[in-house]
Amino acid sequence: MAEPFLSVRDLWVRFGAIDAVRGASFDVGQGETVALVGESGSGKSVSALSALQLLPYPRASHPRGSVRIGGREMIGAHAALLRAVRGGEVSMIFQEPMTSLNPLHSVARQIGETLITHRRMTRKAARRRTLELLERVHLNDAEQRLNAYPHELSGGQRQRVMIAMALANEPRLLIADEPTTALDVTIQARILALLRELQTEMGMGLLLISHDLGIVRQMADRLYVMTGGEIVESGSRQQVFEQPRHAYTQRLLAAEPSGAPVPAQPAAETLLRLKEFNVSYAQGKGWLGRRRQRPAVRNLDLDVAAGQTLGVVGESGSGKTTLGLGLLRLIRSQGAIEFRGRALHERKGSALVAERRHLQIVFQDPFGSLSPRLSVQRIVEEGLRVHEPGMTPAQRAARVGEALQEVGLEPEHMERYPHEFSGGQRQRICIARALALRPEFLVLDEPTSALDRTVQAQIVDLLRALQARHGLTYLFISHDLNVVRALAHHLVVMKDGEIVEQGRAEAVFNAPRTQYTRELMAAAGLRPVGVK
Amino acid sequence: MTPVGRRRWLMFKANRRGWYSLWLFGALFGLSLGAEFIANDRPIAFAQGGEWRFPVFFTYTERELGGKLETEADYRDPYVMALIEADGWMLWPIVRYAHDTIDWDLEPPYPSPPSARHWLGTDGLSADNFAILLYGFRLSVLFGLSLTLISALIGVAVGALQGYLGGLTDLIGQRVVEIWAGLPILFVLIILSSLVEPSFFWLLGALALFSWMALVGVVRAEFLRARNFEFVLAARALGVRELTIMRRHVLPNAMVATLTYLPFILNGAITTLTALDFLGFGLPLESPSLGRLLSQAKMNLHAPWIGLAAFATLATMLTLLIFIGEAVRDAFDPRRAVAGGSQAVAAALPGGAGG
Repeated sequence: MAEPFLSVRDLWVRFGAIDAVRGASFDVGQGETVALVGESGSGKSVSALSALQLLPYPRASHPRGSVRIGGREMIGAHAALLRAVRGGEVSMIFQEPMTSLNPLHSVARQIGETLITHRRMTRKAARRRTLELLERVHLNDAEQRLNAYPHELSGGQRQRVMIAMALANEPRLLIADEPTTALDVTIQARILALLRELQTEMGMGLLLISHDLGIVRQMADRLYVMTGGEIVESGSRQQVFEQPRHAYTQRLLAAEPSGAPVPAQPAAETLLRLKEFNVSYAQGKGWLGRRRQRPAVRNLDLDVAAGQTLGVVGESGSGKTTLGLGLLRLIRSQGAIEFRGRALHERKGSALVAERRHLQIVFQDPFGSLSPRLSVQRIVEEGLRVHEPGMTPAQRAARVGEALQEVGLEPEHMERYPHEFSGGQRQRICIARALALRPEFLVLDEPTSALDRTVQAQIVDLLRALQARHGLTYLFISHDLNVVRALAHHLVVMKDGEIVEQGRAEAVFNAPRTQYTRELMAAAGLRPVGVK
Repeated sequence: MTPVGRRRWLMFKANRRGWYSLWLFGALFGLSLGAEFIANDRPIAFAQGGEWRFPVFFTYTERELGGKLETEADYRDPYVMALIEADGWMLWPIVRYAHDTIDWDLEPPYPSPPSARHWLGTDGLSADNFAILLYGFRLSVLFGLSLTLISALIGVAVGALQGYLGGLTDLIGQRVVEIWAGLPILFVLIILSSLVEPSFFWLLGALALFSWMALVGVVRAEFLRARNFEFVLAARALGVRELTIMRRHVLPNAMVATLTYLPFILNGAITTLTALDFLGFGLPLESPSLGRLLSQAKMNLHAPWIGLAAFATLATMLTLLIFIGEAVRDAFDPRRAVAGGSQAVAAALPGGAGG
């Protein structure tokens, strides 16, 4: 049997004293889709990057192993050979479409450049070919977009341009490193469909690197599961998904957020009520002109029942985060916010500060929402310093310890700094900070989307346990319906700042009324039960 | 000390170069603070007729010592020496000259070369170079530290307000800073010096008028960046007051940038003072000055010991301060605090992604 196009054997990657990849072997043949699956830090990106020798050498090194592309050894290969392979025979697309394109060059120039260098095309020919490529990746109005700059394109459009760029030289292998992670769920599906279509059309190999089992299940012919720098399991899609042999794979597959929300009190009173709630952002300002307002949340009426979870779902830009910030009065809003019958929207100054202890928020990014220069204790006790000025330091420390224990962290970790914790642990710290004041109401703004699959499930379990223990009320904002389903009693679907669908969670999941909700569900791999 | 402080201190100590520089600089500055006990034209103490007296701290007239004049005693006068030693003894500093002591006993021509009497020679007025350097070092460092402190306070406050409030405040503030920075500072200082006889505090104020701007840019940028961070929003959601948020959450982020600048501002302040002194627009004539020593060296090129000594002192001082500043800056950086390879690896990966 002929050697597969990409063949990696016993690859080791070492950074300083640390082995990031230990003896990984994998193959990608012509026309097949192979996935490297693993959580962050598992070494899957590093493995893929070393195939093209794109690691920061000499800081990184390969103590052992071989990478062969089309029968030629890549490790230690001459620079000229590497250049010919990179972007010629093998192309790569990256996770972040925002930073992978040069902001100063137009689309035509970004793509044309590779054609001119690799293929020695004339400018005119390059432009023609670029247009062809853009049409091939189904970029709308390709002709007009030729002269567009990256900032004029949406995330999905940028990723299409990236793919067009990668395809410019008709590569035999495309390496896609988390190609859809940064995109909206509904756009994700379209990009994946595009990749699949292009692959069959052009017969290239596709090496897909992903942490998202849903995507891998849709795309891959074969897959390799990586953890801790080693490949622990490999096989066809069916084999791995249906009969996982390794304990880690089993754990990964079982880590889908599951379970039902905490049983709700039947006759729960309304804790928070929004009436004709509006938030708008100022958008530019002309000379002497009035500010134009762009509405982000429009005429919303909403009731949140005490002790229950209201799930808010929608794509990015649908106004869900704005809604969360607005009802906490962190950004300016119009309309009524009633909390336990008290008019929150009329509170000012210290009266508003006094209310804040009852309403807290947990953000999406566990890296950005903790002050990097404060110890965990200082972070968690911050609210206590404001609302319980009479507390002694010892009392505060006790409350901080309690809050940390509550979220499953050791109270001894109080003196450490955020960067010493993993993403999941940091999110627990964020929750502890919110809980230290013993609030009644929590806004959870995508608290799990930045986390690995197994960690997501743990956080969801934690949130559920806390709700059961303290009777907390959640406003849970997410684009991931898997997570929402595991937590929410009621559901609100938002689009363009308006509610397009709402109701009891099961009712919506079983019989979504709008196409938009169905699309969101399809993207999460969910199928309405009631509709065949 | 808080755990934070302790860790920073350990980090600082781990930087050998900065740590030794601090010791060396501390020793030099400590010694120069006691300059009166090292180089002085009066004894530290003397006993006369069983009575102890301390000319370093107190002024005695010649008559009190049994002489004739009502003026202050000149202890280097053989007549006064004889008066005291007739019935007691004197404890002299190592060097028997202060920065403004003129050695009349020296044979012309001045400046005279290094000798056992004047270790680093004398300047053109026959004053001891070592004493000038010692007193001048102290004055320069004190001046530099005061100026740095003042400019840091003003600069950080202005930058913080501009960055945090943003909008119109920022717009106007930035334009004012730009206009103010456009003034030709040296000329303004020269004009001001010709109107007023500059003293230590007068010069400090005049230089502070201009040196605060160095920090505004960096601090403003840090505040502008950090004011919409989620941890700031989280603090606001907790009900923390805006001023507290600025101080507790945003300022520490701006401190690394600030600290990176401080050694340069300190060095800049010392250099500016030296330059003004060199040009003759600086401190009054009776104060010890490294800049004026340099200008003496320029006028007496045949006496290289003046220039060499002044240069060595300035170079040592400025280098040590930079080394210390670097070490402080690194100690305040929490990402360096974990001496682990894993951090380096994470940083090495493209996009910081671990795969």
